[in-house]
Amino acid sequence: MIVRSFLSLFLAAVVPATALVAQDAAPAAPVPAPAEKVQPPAPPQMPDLATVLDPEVISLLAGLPAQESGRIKPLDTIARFRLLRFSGRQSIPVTEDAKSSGKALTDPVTGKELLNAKGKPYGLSATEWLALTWFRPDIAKDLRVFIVDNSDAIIEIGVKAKNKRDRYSYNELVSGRSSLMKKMQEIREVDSKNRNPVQRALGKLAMDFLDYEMIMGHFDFARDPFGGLAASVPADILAAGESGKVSAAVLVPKIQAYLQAHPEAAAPMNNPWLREYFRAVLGALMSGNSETVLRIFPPDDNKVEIWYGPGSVLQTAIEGGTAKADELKLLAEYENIYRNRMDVAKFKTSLESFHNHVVRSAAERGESGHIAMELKYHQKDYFYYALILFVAGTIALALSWVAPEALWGKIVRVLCWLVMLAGAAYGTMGIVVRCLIMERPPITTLYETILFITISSVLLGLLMEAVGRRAKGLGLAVACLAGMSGLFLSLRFMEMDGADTLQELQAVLITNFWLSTHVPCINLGYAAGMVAAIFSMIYFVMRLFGIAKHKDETSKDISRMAYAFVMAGLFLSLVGTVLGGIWANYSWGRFWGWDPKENGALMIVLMNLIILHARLGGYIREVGFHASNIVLGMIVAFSWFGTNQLGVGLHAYGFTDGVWTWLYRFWALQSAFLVYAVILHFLDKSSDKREEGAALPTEMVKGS
Amino acid sequence: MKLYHFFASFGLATVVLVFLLLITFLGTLEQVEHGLFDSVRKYFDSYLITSVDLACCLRAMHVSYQGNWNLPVLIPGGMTLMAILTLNMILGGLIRIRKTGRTFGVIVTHGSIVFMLVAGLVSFLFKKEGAVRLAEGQVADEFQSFHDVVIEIERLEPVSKDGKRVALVIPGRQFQDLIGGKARTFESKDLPFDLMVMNYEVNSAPKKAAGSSTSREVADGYFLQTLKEELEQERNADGAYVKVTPKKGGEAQKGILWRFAAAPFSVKVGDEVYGISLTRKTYKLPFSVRLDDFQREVHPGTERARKFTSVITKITGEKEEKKIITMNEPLRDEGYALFQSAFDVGERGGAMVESSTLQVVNNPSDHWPLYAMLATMAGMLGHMIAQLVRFLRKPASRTSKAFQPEASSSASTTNPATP
Repeated sequence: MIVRSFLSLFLAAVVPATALVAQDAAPAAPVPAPAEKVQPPAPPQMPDLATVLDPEVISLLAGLPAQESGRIKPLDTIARFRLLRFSGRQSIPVTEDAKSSGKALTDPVTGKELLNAKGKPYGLSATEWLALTWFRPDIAKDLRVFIVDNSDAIIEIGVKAKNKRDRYSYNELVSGRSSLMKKMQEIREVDSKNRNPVQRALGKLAMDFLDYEMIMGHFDFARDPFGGLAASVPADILAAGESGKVSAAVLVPKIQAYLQAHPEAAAPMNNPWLREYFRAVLGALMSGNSETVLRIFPPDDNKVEIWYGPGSVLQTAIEGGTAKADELKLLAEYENIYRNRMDVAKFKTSLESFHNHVVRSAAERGESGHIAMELKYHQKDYFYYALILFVAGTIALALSWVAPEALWGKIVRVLCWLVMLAGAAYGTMGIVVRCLIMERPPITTLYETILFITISSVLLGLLMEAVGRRAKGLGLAVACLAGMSGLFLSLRFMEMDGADTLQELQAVLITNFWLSTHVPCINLGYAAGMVAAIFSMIYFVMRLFGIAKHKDETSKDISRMAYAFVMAGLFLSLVGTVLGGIWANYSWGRFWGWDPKENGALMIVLMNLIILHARLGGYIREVGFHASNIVLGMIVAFSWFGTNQLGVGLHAYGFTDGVWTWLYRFWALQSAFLVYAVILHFLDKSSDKREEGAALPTEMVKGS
Repeated sequence: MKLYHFFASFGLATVVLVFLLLITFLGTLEQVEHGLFDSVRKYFDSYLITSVDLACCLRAMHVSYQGNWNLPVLIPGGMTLMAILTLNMILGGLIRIRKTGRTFGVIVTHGSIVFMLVAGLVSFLFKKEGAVRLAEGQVADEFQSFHDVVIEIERLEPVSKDGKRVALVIPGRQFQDLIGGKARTFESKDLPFDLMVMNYEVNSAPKKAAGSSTSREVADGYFLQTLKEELEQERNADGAYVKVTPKKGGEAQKGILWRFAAAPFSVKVGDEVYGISLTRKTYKLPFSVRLDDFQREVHPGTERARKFTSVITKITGEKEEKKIITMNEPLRDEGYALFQSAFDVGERGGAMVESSTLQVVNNPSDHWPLYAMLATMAGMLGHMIAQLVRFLRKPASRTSKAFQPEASSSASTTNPATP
């Protein structure tokens, strides 16, 4: 097992290198994609797009169990996060401008426009996109899959740039391939922390580009494993004229035997046909990262933990191991799907029989996962629809303010309530389904904290509105604001991260008792702090527009509600923090270690305590209290996201590029509130003085 | 009395808490470049903080600032603040506070937080902590501290009659200040020589001295080259020079002590041979531990750990017991707790041998935080529930009163024209 993963790592390192070597050998020629390398007699036949996108075919592919990042998941999930990482979206239209309303792409085989049964351009789901890329790489090259955040990166590689942030197709970028690879080599020398935005964009693009080439070349091992060099392959392996006709499952043992007999031929860099085979292997692996190669063959032997995949079987030929019978059988079955691509009925039956084989074997191993549930989870897109509902709720609330006491206002308010409740229910369902899929408590990653805190804040806001007699729509406002901004953040975060959000845990964290006590407690503490800060933001906005006045009932009501959340936040964050310490003490023998995340939690507790004691001591009043809450919100944001970005400590579990930018934006906004608070403080002071002087003649007050 | 009021005041509480907040923030940011150990020592285990590395703090927060910016300040350190806070809580939150049913929860909360801080102090003063690294098959009955540096002097020859090994120990605080040419001499009536320790280096590497340089200390043809301090304090390889001068006269011998030296520096004085080594403080376990097997599981196809397990045998005299130590499930026995901490794979005699590092902790206040937290929870919940109950019981008179003017004011705003 160790040897195997070592070799995969070696391969991972070689991916870009091989690409580079191949490129440097013929720098003038545009780089031929693997699929194009097939030389006469005849280019491979391409199946009709309707065959590839047949609903039955897609459903079988989507639900195919695969092992990735240590977890059994549907192929659909893999496709989704690949596409999300490439393009920032989980679906893609087959059009020229990457918009669903755009002009449909033309089929390179028939020369006709690619339109669906309704006569409109195709809009592909992630699995459909993966199927198209596998079976119709010629079309895939024109899909605008690569999102580039910074057009300077495009200019750097000598390609014509479009908008500042835009999507590019493989064919649009291919002329800049060699310079892109050179740039990637340079960027690798730079420490990831010190890369500038252009370098980051180039690094990402280069990785995506190579991964996309691998996906397009996924079935090259069946199309033509020697990339047009079949003639130079020794006859021991491939007899003349057999090119493209012999199954890879037959070739693997032959290549193996040949390389063992001729060790001098075993260096891919010096042996052109083996290099081409190596390229086909990479396509079959579908990733340069050993954790994310395609593993869809469950081993018969239960002791083998790591699933095989088409790439890993083909790889055994080079590695010198012996491919096992079950591996080769599954490879042959898998390859058969490709060979039957031109006949719809056969295509479906071969896919179905392979699918059933994998599902059966996985079940026998007790590794069925929660494939159906996970497929549903992604289809339902809980958090996206919850966001839409929250936005609708916000609009309804805003409309209700136009005429709060009129019938119309009341109806809209009820509507707002319903929509917000539906959104909260939808979001809660999403969180519950995630727990069921992973069989563990709700929060284990930074992404999940966003979901949990957002939905809790919404529920807390709604609760406040329901029980607080003085809430007057403020609880609703908090719920709307928290729900909208939180879920928007979650979408952005997922896009920036571009990886499956359902992740296996590191060993130290696998204790459900603490994960279901300490973690939710701390996160509810964050939520309470954020809600208190939102109340205070609303306070300042209302003061700004004169809706609330100094010491009037509305101001007092907001203060009371915010205070309730400060108290709740104190309780939750104090208990949560101490619980974390106790967990640490019982799990690895230290209660407190001044780790950044611990300190972050402590800072929240301290700020809550400061607010509490300063208020009891009379050092802060209305404006001071709300200003302190704003600071509390800033501290919560730091503890929540900032501490993970420091790159030190035990809790550095969610390093994501670009988080600091967002953090600074949030702080800047909050600082603006603080500046306003200072102004308000002096205004209130002078108005208090004026009240005191109310007994004096008005002229005197004016004159003062 | 005035002093009492000052120490029991809300104002003091607020100020101390603000300072604690500030040092927690700075102490977190400085970890990025100064490491955990140094930051904790500077901010939290200290009485006074005299400077803040602002440049480091800015860089930690992704502000590109090159260069140095050490701001001289005078802020009370963590120890001082926590001491004042404890005093403040006792005087204000336990003694001065009005003692009624209403404040009962608050008093309990304050009391349990004080208890928690005391637990922290007890653990800070009396906790023994370290690790023992065992290869499969190896037995150990002692563990080494992570940070406590000592110089051990042990008589190697002749071996004592009862077979017991006895070593004289010089604690680190007595020589760790000897940097940059400083020296100190230690003597003991049990030793036939005086030991001078000089030029302590926090992180260093022994190098062969080339030529006849006189600018640096050289012993046995080697010198200690100063290295940059590691962020993780445990990775520093400290070293020092020693000079052994026999009491009965004779030539003094000079040597180098280095943490990772393969063998102690040995000196012959008269007929006796002594080994001197710079090491970490060693603690005895009340039992022996043998590592029988180390098992490492990862999530399939990844390098992500799923489980680390050490199968061990606890040996007390003749008695042997099989035990398992795994992540989150330590072995707790006789006041000691052994945790799965790390592992490594090394080669021994051509075969791969797995080693497991167990963290060992002996802490008198081990369970105190748990009790403190349960009391805190009870106190705070009690207080909050009492407030809620009061709020719900009284509403008839209170809310109606409060409600009246509000109702009238809202009526006047909606119908401003009504006379």
